[in-house]
Amino acid sequence: MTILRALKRGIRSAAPISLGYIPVAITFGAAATTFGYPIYVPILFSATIFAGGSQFILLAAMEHHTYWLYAVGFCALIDSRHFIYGSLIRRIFPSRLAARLPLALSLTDEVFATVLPQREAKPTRDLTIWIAGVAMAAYLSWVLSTAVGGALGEVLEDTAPVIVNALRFALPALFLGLTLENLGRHNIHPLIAAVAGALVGILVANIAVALFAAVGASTTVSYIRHHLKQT
Amino acid sequence: MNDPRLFIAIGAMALVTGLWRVVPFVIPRDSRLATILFGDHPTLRVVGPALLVGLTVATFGQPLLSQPSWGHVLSYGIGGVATAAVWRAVGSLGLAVVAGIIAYGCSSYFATFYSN
Repeated sequence: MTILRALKRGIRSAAPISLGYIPVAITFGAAATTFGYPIYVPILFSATIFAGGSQFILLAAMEHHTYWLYAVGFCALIDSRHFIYGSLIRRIFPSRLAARLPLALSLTDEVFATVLPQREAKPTRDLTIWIAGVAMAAYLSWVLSTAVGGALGEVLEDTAPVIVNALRFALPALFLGLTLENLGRHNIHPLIAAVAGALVGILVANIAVALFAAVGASTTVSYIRHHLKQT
Repeated sequence: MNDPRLFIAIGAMALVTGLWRVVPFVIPRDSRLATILFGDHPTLRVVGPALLVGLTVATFGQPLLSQPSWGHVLSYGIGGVATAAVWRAVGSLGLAVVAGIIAYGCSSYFATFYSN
């Protein structure tokens, strides 16, 4: 496969991510300029942080004159899940550090979820370029949509609210589809436990707790099953 | 809007987010930590799919908890069923997502229309 074809395939794979990012990033850009920041500020947020949740929390903290270090500390806890993401897919990333780091920096929840099904694949140059395509498309759609939001967010919300509203479902649909792709007879019990753990987590706390609860519950069930099989 | 604290805060947040993303990729492959984290233990094989399940539950659950109306629940339900049905029938993730968006958009529009 040529470099260009692998890159195009990556960009195509990132289409659901981009669809999901557009309304969120537009909302972020619009919110920041509504708060009185010049357009380059939300773009700077998106270009350097590239994490929706953290960006909204920091923007809200700045707006409400909350000490920014609290917001950063809180987000550090939430973002610790990225450590698990990297650990799971490190094997298929290129061995050269200079090639690995830019890809690692682009690992959002959605990019991770799209790359994860390839975790058993043989690490090849085509796979690296495909990951780069996914990462690049996700990053550019996030930053460019932030700029669009900063420039004309409120106008878009007013003129095409039905489309903007419909696009809000892109990320739940993406995660549901990826979950179905990873569901099999061999992992059905641990994943039922993950659903239960995540439900409790989201009901009593937030997304970060839901993710850790899902991982905790599923690995516990998986460990017990593995232990029972061996005895 | 030239408050230096804003730029320090953005820089600190970028640093924290970047570090969490990069650290697993700079740990030496032959270190003890790497063996534990990147080893292929059967128990740990379920972590990736479990994270996807967690993300699905969270992205469906959080908006429904913040706006618990019948119209909202129905729209998410119809969107979810359409996504799963198209994924099952065609096996294409992209088409499944587009079908989910259209189904959600239509049901959400009609729910709003009839509730007014």
